[in-house]
Amino acid sequence: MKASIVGYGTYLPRYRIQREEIARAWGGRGRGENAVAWVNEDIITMATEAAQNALAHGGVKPDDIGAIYLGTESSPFIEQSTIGVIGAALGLRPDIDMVDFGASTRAATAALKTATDAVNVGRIRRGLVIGSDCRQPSPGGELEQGFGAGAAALVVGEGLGVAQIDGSFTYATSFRDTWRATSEPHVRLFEPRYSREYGYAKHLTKAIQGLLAETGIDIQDYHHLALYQPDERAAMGVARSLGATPAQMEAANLFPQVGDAGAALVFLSLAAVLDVAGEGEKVLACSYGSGASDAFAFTVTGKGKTTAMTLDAYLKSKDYLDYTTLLKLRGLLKDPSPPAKMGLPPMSPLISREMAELLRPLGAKCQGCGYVNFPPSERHICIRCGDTSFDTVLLPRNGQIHTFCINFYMPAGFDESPLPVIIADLEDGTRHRALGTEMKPEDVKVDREVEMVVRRLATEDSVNLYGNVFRFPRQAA
Amino acid sequence: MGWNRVAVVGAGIIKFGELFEKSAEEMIEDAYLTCLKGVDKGIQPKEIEAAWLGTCRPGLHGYQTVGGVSLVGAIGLAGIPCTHVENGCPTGSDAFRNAALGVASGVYDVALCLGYEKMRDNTTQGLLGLAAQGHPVLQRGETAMTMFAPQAVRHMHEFGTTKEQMAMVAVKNHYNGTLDPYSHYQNLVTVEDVLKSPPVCYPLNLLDCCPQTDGAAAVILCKSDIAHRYTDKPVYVAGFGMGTDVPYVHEKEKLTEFVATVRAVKQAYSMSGLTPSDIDVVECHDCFTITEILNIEDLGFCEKGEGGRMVERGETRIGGRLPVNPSGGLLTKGHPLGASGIAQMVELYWQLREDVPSQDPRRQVELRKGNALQHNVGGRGISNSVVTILSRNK
Repeated sequence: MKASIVGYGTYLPRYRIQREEIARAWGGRGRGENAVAWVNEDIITMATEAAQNALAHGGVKPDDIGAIYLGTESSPFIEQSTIGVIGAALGLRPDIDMVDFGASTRAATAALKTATDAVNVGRIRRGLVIGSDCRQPSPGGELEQGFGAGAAALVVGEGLGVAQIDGSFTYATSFRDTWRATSEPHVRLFEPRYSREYGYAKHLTKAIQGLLAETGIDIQDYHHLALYQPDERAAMGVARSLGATPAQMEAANLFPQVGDAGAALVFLSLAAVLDVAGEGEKVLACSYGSGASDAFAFTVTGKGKTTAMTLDAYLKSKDYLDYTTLLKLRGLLKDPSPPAKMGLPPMSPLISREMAELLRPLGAKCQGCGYVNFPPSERHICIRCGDTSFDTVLLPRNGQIHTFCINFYMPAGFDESPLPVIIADLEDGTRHRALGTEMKPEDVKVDREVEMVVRRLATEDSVNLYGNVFRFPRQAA
Repeated sequence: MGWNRVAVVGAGIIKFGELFEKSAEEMIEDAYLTCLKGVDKGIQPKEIEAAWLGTCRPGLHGYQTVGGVSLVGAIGLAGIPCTHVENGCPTGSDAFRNAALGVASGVYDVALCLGYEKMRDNTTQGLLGLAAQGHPVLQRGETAMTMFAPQAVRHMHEFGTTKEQMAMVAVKNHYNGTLDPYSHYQNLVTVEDVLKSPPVCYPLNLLDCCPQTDGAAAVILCKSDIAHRYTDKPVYVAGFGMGTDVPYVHEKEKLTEFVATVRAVKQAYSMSGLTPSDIDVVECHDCFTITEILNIEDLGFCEKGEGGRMVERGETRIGGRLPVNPSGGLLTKGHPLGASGIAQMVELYWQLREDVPSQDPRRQVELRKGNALQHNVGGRGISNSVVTILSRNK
């Protein structure tokens, strides 16, 4: 039996920077735009939303996931798994295979290979593979014009789904072109043309040729190519030299709208293709990073379930930033005051105790009066009626603003100012309080719809604290 | 109810403000000595058998640790029992309630209750830093403003309360403050000034908020049988109450009232046998303009939702149907947390004795039945409230 993609989901941040705006700061020219992670986003929060969409698209329950693999080059931590937070936010079981793949923009396809193998040998039935990246370029450097951000997740599993995984081929050498030392925040590049021609073009070509030979299918017979795009032209150059046409590249051409989203980009491109491809069509995808490429062949077998957010919706619901705001998001322009200290540090046992019920909000529904107590670990006696018997319920993520305020004076350590505090009535009637994000003060009104998403709430002693915040549902402008 | 009647026989307060040159100990000492001096027939320190100290956040001024010894140490009374009370914004009034319970129980005949807060040894940023100190996730970003402003938004939404009506509370209390020599602010403001002041936490502007103020105030309580040893015009504790509510804002059933206040005042009315129509003057917790509007509803002086219109009609001015915060309130006098409740007692003690210290005779309210109501609300989730009813009638 061959493994399939049984569901997929994507995530793009709301904000974009136009490359022309970067050029205004540093000179030169720019075309197109890059997706930019907002101040409280990182690869963990983006991966969480993409994975939630993938589970919904595949109709897969969190309990059915037997492995979670995340590929990224921009984890906020060298030591500390990203998956603990994501697993808790998704409600995954603790007895599954959890691995972080890193150190390369090829990390997500390496993870896909591992998941495919695990399904094919029968070790797992369903695995979640996520690519998520928001790599930091040096300001003014060559990479800044192209770096984007985003995440995409695939549910890989047995049986027919959205696309069968027909085969894969990896080509890896000791070639080195980009690097980022442990102590450095910014990705560096030795030399652009050297990287494109001896690095990118060569490894993609070899991996794709290997895959074509293995699958015995000519490149012309693939309806869609979803290739990693470090810039506007490089992918097309490789495709042409292999005999492909621009039409085969069209669906997956995300670089103009998203930028180089690192380990997420090939999965995002694959999602763009699968959104439009018809049953029976063949798709070839290929990644690149640090002198290695993984090429995959797929056959489209169907469509998944309809989900609220598709890649197209994420592409269309956007707002533009200026370069000054971009510098603030990247922490390059900041208030030097030390952040206000929390009452308890983010590594406190309290956080471990409550993490799961807060990230994927659970309530203790009183069997006596029906009131949903929250959080369950703090309410063992119903706060409304005093009963002590409860059923655990999952709180809905959508609701309407009951009331709110917008704080214009936040201390250092709160990245958004003015900062909305939202008190909302969720779809099941439960009242919930969380900070608002990505909201213009004038847009916040009683009765407006909001949805809960996982974001970084704070950083103290370099440790991140994650929790849910409210945003307005993303809608195409 | 089986309790010994309690009287207030002395009251003292220091000028509230930014007391950069005064230590916390000096503030305490000044309030204490002023209070002793205010006892008509005199009192000796050794007559004080026990003391209660109200201070909410001693950490704000840097080095003070919690404990009653801060009070007795500063006033030369080390030796007597002294209890530190911390209970959010009602800290001062809850210290008073506990002192009153001590006397009412019959264990102590004479007790001192002093409240203070040194708010200005720390920066405003230092105070705002509290936004990071609640539950790291569920209360992230919670400051005093974010616990009252959502009530304003919902009150506006449900009852049509306006920002102009909220501003009128500030206008009235600033006017009253100019008559009160102890008030931090001493200036008049207009509705337009309030509406045009910088936004602090929507829908509250700067002049909708109380300032960051140092202050201290003290009262002497004794059992009513011996009150005439100290004064011919004692003020009696007619009743008190304390109410609590759920700690998280998401657990509240209504965001247009403070149910802790409703619960506290119900006990106070029941204990005193009085009703809202028996009250001549109110000192209530106006940390923000909206709070005073909610309070006059929650305390039973008008229907729920009518508070804004009651203010607009001028009923809460000195000379109106029910003067509210003739001292200028927290909005103008300032809100040194532990001192605020005691300062309200001091004001009502003067008002009920008709000897308000002011150059301006307009500051004295007209007494009809001789009863006054004191109120604070606050603490985690604005979930505790203390109400005290004082009376010149035994």
